[in-house]
Amino acid sequence: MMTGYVRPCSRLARELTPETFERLLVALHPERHLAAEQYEQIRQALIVFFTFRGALDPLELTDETINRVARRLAEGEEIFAQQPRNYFYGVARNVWREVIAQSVSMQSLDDPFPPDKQSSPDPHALLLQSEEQQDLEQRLLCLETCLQKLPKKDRDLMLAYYQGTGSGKIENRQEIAAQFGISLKTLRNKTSRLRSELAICVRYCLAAKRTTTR
Amino acid sequence: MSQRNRIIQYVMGEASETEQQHTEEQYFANAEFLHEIQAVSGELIDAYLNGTMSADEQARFEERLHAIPFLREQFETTRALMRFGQTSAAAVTPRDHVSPAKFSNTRTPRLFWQRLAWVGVAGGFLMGGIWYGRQLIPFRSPEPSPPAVAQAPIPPATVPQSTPQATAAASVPSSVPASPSPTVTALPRRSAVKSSISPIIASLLLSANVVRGENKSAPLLLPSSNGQVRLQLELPSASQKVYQVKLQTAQEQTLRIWRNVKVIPSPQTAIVELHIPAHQLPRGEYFITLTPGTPAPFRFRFSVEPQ
Repeated sequence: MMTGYVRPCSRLARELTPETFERLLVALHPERHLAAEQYEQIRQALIVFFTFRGALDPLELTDETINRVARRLAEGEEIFAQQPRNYFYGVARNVWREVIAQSVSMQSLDDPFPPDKQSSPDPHALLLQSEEQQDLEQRLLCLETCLQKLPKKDRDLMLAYYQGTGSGKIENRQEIAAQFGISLKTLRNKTSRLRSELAICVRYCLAAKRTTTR
Repeated sequence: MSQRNRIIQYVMGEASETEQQHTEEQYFANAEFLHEIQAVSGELIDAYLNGTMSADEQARFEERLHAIPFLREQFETTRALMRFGQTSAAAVTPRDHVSPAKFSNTRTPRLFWQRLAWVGVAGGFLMGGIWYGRQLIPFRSPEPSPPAVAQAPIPPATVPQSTPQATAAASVPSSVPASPSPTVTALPRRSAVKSSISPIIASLLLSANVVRGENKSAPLLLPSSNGQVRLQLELPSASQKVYQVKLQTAQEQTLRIWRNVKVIPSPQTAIVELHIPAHQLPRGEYFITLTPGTPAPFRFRFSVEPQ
C-alpha cells in the first residue's frame, strides 16, 4: 500500500534528500528491491518499538531515527557492522532515552473508558459524550476516505474481515482466507499491517480536519 | 513460556525490561517475529471489541490502552472499522478476487455463441415486424374519429392516511440507519461505498427480571435468513441515561459488551435497544445485564429457538 511512503510534512521528508535516501538504501542492500524491503521492515519495527514504549508520536520518532542514520551515512560514516537493523535499534533506543530525558509529557487522548461516566451523567459527562460522538463521526468519515485509498483487494479484505459481527474470530478468518485465496497466516499479517496503515492515515486525516476547523 | 505468551506479555507491558529488550532485538532482526507482534496486538484488539476477554483481561487491556496512545488509535480505528463493516453493503464477492486462471476457457466461446444467437433472434423479430408493417400500410384507411364523450369527473386521488410510523420514517434523514443501534451514531453520507443495513428479522421486548422462553411463553424464534435481531429492554424507570450492557450465555460466557448505551425515554418506562446479528444467537439461553442498576443491575433472560 504505502511501502516506504514519506509524508510530505514529516521531518523525514524535510531532511532526507533523494541522495541521502539513495545512500541509505544502498547501505541496506546492494539490490534495490531488497533494500526497499529491508527499509520497510525497519520502519515497521521502529514504529512498533516506539508504540509499545508509549511514545505519543511513534511516527515522528521513527522518522527522527531514520533521519539520524541517514545523516551519519551521508557524512561518510561506515556504520553498519553486521546487521543494519541492530544499528537502527540502537539509535532508536538513544532517541527514546532523549525523549524520556526531556520529560515529554504524554498527554492522554480522550478517555474512551471514563470510570464513572455511567453513574453520574452530569453536564460535563454529557459534553464528553458529545465530543466522543463527534470524534467518532469524524473518524468514520476519515476511515471512509482512507479505505478508498487502499487498493480494491485490500479494501475488500478489510471490509470482509470486519463485516458483520464475530469479526476476527477464528472460524470467520478461515472462511475469509479461503474466499480470498490466501493462507490464514497471510490474512493475519495482512490485516494487521493494513490496520496499522489505516490508523496512521486516519490520524493524519483527523489532524487535518482539526486544523481546518480552527 | 510459549512465543505467543511472551508476545502478549510484551504487548500488554507486563514483561521485564530485560525481556522487553530481548523481544525488541528479536523483532528488529526477524521480520516474521515482527509480523507476529503486529498480528497478536491486532487480535487482542479484536478480542476486546468482540467481548471475548475475561473481565480481568479486559481491565488489563484497558489499562494498556490508556498507556499506549498509538495502540489506542489502532483500537479506535478497528472499532470504527467494525461499525463501518456492519453497515456497509460491502457485498464483497469472492468471485471478484478469484484468479482468472480458474475460469474454464470453454466458457467464453460458449457465451459468445449464446449471445450471438440471441442477437439473431432479436434481429429476426425486428425484420419481421418491419416487413409486416410495410404490408399493412397500403390497406389502412383513415379511421373515423371517435365521438366526443363527456369525461366522467376524475375522483380525487386517494391519499393514504400517513401513520405516525410512516411520518417518522419519512422524517428520518437518509444518512441515519432505519434501526440505529444504540451504540452507533448517525453515520455520514457515503460517497462511493454503497451502504445497506441488515434487515431486522426478529424483534423481542423484554422486561427486567422476567423469565421468558420457559413453559409459559414462547421462545424467540429465529428464521434461518441473515439479518439482525432487535432486543428492546424495558426498564421500570429512567433513572440512568446510559448503561453498560452485557450479553452472556447461560454458562456466563460473555458474548458482547456495549458501553454507553443510551436510554430511549418513553412516557411510562424507558427502553434500551440492542441490535444483534442473528447468527450470533444460536439456540440456547441468554442473559442480558444492565449496569448500573438500582438497587441491583437489571437482568433480562430469553431463549432462542430456530424457526
